[in-house]
Amino acid sequence: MEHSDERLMLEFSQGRPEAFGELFRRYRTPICGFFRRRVTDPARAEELAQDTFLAVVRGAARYQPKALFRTYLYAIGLNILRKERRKATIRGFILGGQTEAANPAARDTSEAGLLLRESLGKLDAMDREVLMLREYEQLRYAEIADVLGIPVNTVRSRLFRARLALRDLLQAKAPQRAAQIEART
Amino acid sequence: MNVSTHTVSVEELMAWLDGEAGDGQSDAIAAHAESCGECRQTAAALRSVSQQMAAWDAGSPTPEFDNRFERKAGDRVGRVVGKARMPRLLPRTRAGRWAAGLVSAGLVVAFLLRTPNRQMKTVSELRPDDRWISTDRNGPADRFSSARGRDSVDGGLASAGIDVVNGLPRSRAVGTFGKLQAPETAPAPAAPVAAEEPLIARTATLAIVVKQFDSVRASLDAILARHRGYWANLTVNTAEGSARSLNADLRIPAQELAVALADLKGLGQVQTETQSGEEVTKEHADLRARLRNSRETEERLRAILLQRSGKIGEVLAVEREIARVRGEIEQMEAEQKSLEQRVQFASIQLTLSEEFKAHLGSALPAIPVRLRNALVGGYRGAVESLVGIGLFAAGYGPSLLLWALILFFPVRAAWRRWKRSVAAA
Repeated sequence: MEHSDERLMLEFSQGRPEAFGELFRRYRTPICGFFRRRVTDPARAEELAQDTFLAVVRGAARYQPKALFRTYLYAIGLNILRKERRKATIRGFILGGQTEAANPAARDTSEAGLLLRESLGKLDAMDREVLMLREYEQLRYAEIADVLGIPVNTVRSRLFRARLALRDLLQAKAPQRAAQIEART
Repeated sequence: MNVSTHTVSVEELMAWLDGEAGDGQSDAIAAHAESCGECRQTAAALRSVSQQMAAWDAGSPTPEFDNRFERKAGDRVGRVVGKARMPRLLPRTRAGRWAAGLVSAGLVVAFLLRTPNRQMKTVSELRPDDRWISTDRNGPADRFSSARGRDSVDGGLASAGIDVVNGLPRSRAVGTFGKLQAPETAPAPAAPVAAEEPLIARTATLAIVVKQFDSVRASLDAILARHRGYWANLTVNTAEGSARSLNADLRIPAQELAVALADLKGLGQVQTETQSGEEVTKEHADLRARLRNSRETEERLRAILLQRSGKIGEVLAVEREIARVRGEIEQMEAEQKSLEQRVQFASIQLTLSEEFKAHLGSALPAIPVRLRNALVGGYRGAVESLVGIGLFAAGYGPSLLLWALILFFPVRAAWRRWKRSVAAA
């Protein structure tokens, strides 16, 4: 029988490293995806994912199962991401030029999904985060509210707004993209 | 007029699609979505967005991911159990941390602003209309209106065997208030100041809290007599409802300074004490050289006047020159005397404050009078505030305007750059 995440985390906090191994196996791909979709440099995204697991290890002694483990995990990931963006913003402000931790859509030039990434990059930052947490991390509304520290109703309204905005952006950009591809070929 | 026929909102519809609708609502929303064409379109659009988003595959971690994490974590994973939980020093919430920070900052400011001598502060904050007793024998008679102050202080002097004239020992009751007056008993500059020795003008500050204020002035006079010192200035404040205080500028022969300070400290509890010295050797030597030159010039001019004869105009010119040099000599002699006086007599700024004990019996002014005074004070404060604002605007307005014009464009450019950086992140 498979143990719940919370149970594994409690066991890890009580001294069973194998429990952490299981958690790591379950979440290594989702957490890497979380950062890869939000950070331009894939190597840096993996480093941040490792930092997230490292923070879980460091905080294990203080862990209390007040919320779902994945909420706890993504909240840590989001904090690490915010720090990274803050550093990049300050670096960009001082040195000038593009910030390193900007939206991956700004640098990813692969054809597949480029339209989607560009459109996502044009959404309001908070709306985009709500939408991505829902669509990619598959968090429930209440979990998103916990992770972002906003009310559930705000999550609901922002999510709806983000989806409609993204639909409009995709519809508006699709003909332009098709024309560009046609011109290239 | 459009009337909505939707029984569910679009957000409820979206929640139903996401599996977030409540148990009781799911069936109703499903039924409505089935029957309503507009909602069917909305649902299709939302599903389409989700499908398009799903196309973005972030991929799997690289094969080195696990190894790199193991290296990074080291043996931390195996050491989790038994780790002593450190007591949390900072509050968990951001608001708590802000509150803790503000409290800490407040404590630091309070510590830095802590006044070591409350009595000294009281003295400095006295208003001019408080009743004052001064030792000014030429001052107006109403300055001596406080019978308590004068009788008690003079009584103290009399009991110490010192002849009193208007609050001063007879030997020192000459001169005017606030003017340096050497006592008859003060030692004359017995030994001329040797040019080779360093000349130090010593000053000291002493603040003392005394229990028996009535007898303190007698003790002070006794100390001055013992050390052949005198006071240059003395002020006693006996404001109603606050501690009495005495401020004196004492002059003590420099060689007696240490002993005199020790005696003064015996009057009560010392709150603050500072001592300093200013070397005036070079200044004194320079003054002596200039004086010698001027005297020689004067002698030569006098010799010219006596030995040579000439036109009356030339004689008058020599006399005028002699008068000018004589004036310079007298001025320099006064400066030299003052300098030597500073070296021979150390200056002590003494503040004696009474340990304040409030009395219940003191009559308070009537409420209407207090109310009127408060209103007058408030009116004056308001007028002064307005005048202050006007003065500030007049005094600093042009400068501030100039700086605003200078800084406006750089600040705006920096702000826009910052906003662009934030938006890019």
